[in-house]
Amino acid sequence: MAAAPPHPNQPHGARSRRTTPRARTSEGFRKRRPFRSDQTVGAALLALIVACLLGSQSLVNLAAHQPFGAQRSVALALANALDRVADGLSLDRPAKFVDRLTGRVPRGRVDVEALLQQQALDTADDTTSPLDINPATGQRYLSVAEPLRVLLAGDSMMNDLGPSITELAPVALASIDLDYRVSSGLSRPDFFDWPSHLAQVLDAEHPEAVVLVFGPNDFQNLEVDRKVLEAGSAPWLTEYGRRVGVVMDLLHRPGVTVTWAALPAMRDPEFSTSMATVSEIYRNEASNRPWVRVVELGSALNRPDGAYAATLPDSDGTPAALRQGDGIHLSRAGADRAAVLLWSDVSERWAVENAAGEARADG
Amino acid sequence: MLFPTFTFAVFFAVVLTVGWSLHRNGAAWKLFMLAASYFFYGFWDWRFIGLIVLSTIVNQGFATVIDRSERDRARSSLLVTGVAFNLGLLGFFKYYGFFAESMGATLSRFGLPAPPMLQIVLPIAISFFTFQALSYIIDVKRRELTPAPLIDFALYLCFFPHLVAGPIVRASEFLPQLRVRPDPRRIDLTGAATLIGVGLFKKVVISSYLASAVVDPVFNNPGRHSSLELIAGVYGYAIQIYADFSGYTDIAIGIALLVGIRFPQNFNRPYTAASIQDFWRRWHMTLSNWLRDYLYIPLGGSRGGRNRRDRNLFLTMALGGLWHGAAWTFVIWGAYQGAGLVVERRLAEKASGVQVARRRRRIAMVPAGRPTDADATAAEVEDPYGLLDELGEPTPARSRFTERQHRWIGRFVTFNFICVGWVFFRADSLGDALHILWRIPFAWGAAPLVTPLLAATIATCLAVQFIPRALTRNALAGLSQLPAWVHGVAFGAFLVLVDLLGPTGIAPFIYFRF
Repeated sequence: MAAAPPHPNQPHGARSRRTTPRARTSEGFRKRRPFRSDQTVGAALLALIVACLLGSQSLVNLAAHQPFGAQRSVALALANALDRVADGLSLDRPAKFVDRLTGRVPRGRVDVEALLQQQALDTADDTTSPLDINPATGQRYLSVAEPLRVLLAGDSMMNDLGPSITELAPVALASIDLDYRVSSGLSRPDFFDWPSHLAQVLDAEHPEAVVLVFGPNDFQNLEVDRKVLEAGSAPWLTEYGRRVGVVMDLLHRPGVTVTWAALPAMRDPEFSTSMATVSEIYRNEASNRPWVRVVELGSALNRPDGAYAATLPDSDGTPAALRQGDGIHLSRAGADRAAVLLWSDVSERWAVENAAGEARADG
Repeated sequence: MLFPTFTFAVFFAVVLTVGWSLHRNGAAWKLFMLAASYFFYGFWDWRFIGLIVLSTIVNQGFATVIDRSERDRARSSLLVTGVAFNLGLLGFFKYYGFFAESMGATLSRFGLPAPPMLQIVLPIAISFFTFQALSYIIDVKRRELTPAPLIDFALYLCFFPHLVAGPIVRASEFLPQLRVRPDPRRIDLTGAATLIGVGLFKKVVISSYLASAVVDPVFNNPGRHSSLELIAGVYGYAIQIYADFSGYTDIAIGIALLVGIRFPQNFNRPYTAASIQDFWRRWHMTLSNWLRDYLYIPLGGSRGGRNRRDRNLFLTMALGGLWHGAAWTFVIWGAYQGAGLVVERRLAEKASGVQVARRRRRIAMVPAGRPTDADATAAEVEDPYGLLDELGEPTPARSRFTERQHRWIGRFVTFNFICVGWVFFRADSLGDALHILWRIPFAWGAAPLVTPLLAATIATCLAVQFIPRALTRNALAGLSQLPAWVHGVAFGAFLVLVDLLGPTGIAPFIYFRF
């Protein structure tokens, strides 16, 4: 692109850096100095380079979060090279300073394996007095003074389900924490490390009823010891099952119940098959862990023959759309139907309805 | 491809560089921009490109045959067909589910079969490019525009900065800019960089923060929040939607400026409005103007008396509400705004009638020799303060004080009126909206969501709207004296700051779904 000569009516560039005091708009404001196209393009490219260097860590994260494969490897290599340059020039310091200032420094990873070993030793160490235990449920009695601490966690599906579940829970008897991460799952701890996060939440918030939904982001290649496991392959099934089991074991603490959602059919048949595969893994892993119950969302959202249903009749017989336009996420009506199943499980295991009745009777 | 992403930054760097290197060759520049815009649109879903190409070809066909027709009846019939095509397209993709659901509910009461529910993917930007196509064929029919070459029209419809969420640019504003090549020596780099930077900050930092801190929790479960949290949620949403939408158009206008195209202003400090009418002159101005020119005036405008005018105003706003989304909450929001405008106008007319009558009584008491009713000009009748000045009461200083008081009261009432409307706009259902409004006066209690940071954010975002324009304009003029490389370095650093202050992962702009 050739640099254009100065405009005769508007001096600019090195020859005239300042507008004259009389350069004003018709509204009386001072006029801004215009720039040439080559200056503009140069400034834009410079801005991109500066942003890449100052924010090199963001680029590394961006590259790392791509699906495993050649494209990710190349992007990661480039981003890492840039990050090394930025590090060498100390250009990453301002970003680190702002991160510290805003508290965005990622919390350290928890050694989940060590934690599980410790938990195995501690499991018998339940301090709840037998008198506080509701014999019907095996859990403590709920009261307005000590409501049930519920954690709703998972991917963006929990963003759909969370408000509907919360609506069903009695305000006085259930304290609900909605903790969802868009695009997350159990396949990519490099993007969001759910086991570490849950371990930290368990220690900090002490949830008692944990409701989890994962899966839609999980049917992708996994990386183990720098080896990529192809989604759906036998090693992949074993590894994904292991990760699911780790989360379930992590939640095996005294007085904690886990409700795990098995996914409904999806509009895209191939994707639906993938989700059926991960749901089967959830069932298998839960089968020998009595503190985990798998709730079949398909029984509320699929057609009677188990096929995908975009709509189903509501209580009036009027067809209600259950899914969002992507054929994956839930509409409000769909979330309401699925929430009934999930909350019923929690409510049954904690006798929430009985406690609500007693709370009403107590006035 | 979202604006606040690295992918878009790389895409735009390429478009900017290649675009300006081609600017001497108008045809090549247009072809390149068209290809870039289709790439930008197809990045979401390549099938969308087919839809916009179809809309382009059909609308260009209508414009051409309308222009060639001599007879008014033929032109009108062609226009009606063209409008039906566009509204049919929009209706099918955007409103089919809404109408099928609403019809189904009604029909099932009479035991009749409901229309089939289809899962239709809503193509991004369909509301915006349909409105632009409509304005094009209507302007051609009105003989205000001659059909542009196909490539110009195609570029007008899909030009990537405004494609997804506006501003709604008129053909008469855009097409002439394609006929003259932009001056490569007069690029408003400072203005563009500021618009993009401020837009990104509004979207990535302010909008995202408010959404997660208060708006989403409150609107997702109003029954679990106290009055103060509900109020903060409603005010927070007022700021969030402004930051989100005006942020998008700021970025769009800035990007267009950098490639040499000027877009109309879309927001003008809307929360400084002292009346509902004033608000609609400041909020989504390109939509307000579109609705006025292509809906309100064809409906009859203010012709035919006050009742007809009010009916037209109400209908325009209700349909404008429906444009925003296929749900009854949007229709109610539009009707609420329409009703507000009608009531406000009636009250203003009543007040102005009282003032004129008072003026006449006072003039009757004026001693001989002073101006009388007969001497009053029409302008004076419209200007009661002019009369009071003439009679020497009250003093000009006092009237300015009263005027200022009235303006602030007007601002307060207008802002709160608009906020109540936002409850319907944001809530998932009419029931949720009413639940929020009903709980606000009665649910007093602890408000852990209302933190000092949240209160400061809302207050600052409102206060910023009152900064005198001269101050910002003159400050920008000062900044423009800095060399281009300083602009580049400062802008790059600002991008990183926005990234650091924002959340991980950016939610799509609210207006994408409209």
